[in-house]
Amino acid sequence: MGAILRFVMPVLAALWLSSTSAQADARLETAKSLVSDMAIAVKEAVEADYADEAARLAAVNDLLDRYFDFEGITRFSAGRYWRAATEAEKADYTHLFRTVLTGLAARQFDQLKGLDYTVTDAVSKGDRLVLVTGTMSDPSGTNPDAIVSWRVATPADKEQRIIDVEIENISMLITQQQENTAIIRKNGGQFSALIDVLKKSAQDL
Amino acid sequence: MRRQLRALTTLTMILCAACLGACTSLPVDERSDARDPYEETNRKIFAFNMAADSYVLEPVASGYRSAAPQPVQTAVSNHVNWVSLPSTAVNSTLQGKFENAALAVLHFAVNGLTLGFANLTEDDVQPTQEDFGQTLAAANVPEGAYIEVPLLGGQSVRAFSGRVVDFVLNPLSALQAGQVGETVQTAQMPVGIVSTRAQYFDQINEVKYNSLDPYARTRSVYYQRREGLLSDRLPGQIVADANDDAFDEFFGD
Repeated sequence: MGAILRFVMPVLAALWLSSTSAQADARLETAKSLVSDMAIAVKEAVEADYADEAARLAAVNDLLDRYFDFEGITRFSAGRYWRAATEAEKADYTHLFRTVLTGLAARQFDQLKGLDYTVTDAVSKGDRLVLVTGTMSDPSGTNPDAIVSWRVATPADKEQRIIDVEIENISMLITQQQENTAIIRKNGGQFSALIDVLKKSAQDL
Repeated sequence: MRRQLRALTTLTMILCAACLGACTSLPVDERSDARDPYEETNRKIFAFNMAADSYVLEPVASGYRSAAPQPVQTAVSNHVNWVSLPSTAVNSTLQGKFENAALAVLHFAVNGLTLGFANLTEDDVQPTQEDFGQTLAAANVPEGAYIEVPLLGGQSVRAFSGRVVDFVLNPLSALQAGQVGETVQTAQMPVGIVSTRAQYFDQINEVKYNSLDPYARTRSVYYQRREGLLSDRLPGQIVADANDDAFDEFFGD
């Protein structure tokens, strides 16, 4: 019996390790595919002709829903103040944050025209995140190449979605969180102060 | 002229020290960022810097972008990078990054044939920027508070001190003695500022006009960029990415 166990246990361990490794590889490949698909979809959306600003905004909203974890982005961007906010404040913030985010993205769509993105690598960052790295290049040579990385949330029970973009070591989501937190802290920890600033920003769009 | 510029830099330092010395630091719980004890004063200087940008730098950079063809802009940008290579070589050596130091010397020597306006090296690997602020960080000198410097922007006390040392001890000074050399060196700083503003024109305007709080956003970008530069301060050392920590905390909830 002991001899059988001595033979079976290493085989089982090897099988378990290879299956874990295969799952990890599959997770990285799925994240890379998600980012590649997103880059293609963004390129198509950027180069499409839109009848008006509303159509362009609808295209941005569609990209956000298809490829990004907006719920996670929203919670992360409010930092530790999210937990203390009331349900009404959370709803207001979610609505206004989406309005400002998509409004600004729609306005800046043209800056992405003609740019290509190529995925080069993916690295696991714990169980729930994958960092997909790639190069943003400008075939016209006007802009130098830039390293752009995407943080993909990989929860076990949900589809993978992008939660952050990092350009040359600068995370857009952490920047947003620190900016939002600064506004709240400057106003005595009032979450409503951030909502007021967002309201003004949404009006100015 | 160069002496005047150095005097101006020294004066800026003294003014900064006087401004920050005159104001009291905020208690930690009243700061919007723990690293920014002089936030009230910093925000006033930031407003001044934004006004200077709107009235002078942004229009000049915009004109430069429209008037100068792309190859000219690239050449000027190359020259600005080339000028910083001696400092990179010296600071890389001080930090024990001899490979980067050698690369900087090589690029400086080869591209020196065109005064750095053309990149003659066919090397994909470029020397990474190393300044005296990074050298101080490698020597474990504390970062100090975040300060907004008139006309030069926000940075930590350590980075600002390093910047002054790099400027004063620029090895190019020895090569640019004489009237013409001094004039060239004096022009390098404003040309570099305009070139950089033009290069990052859209990104800077994005922060300036579309942020909820441009000061806080600029400060956040500064610290993340600096963290990126510092994260390779010892060859082979694995340094935890501060951004990863923030996400670990989020997903650990």
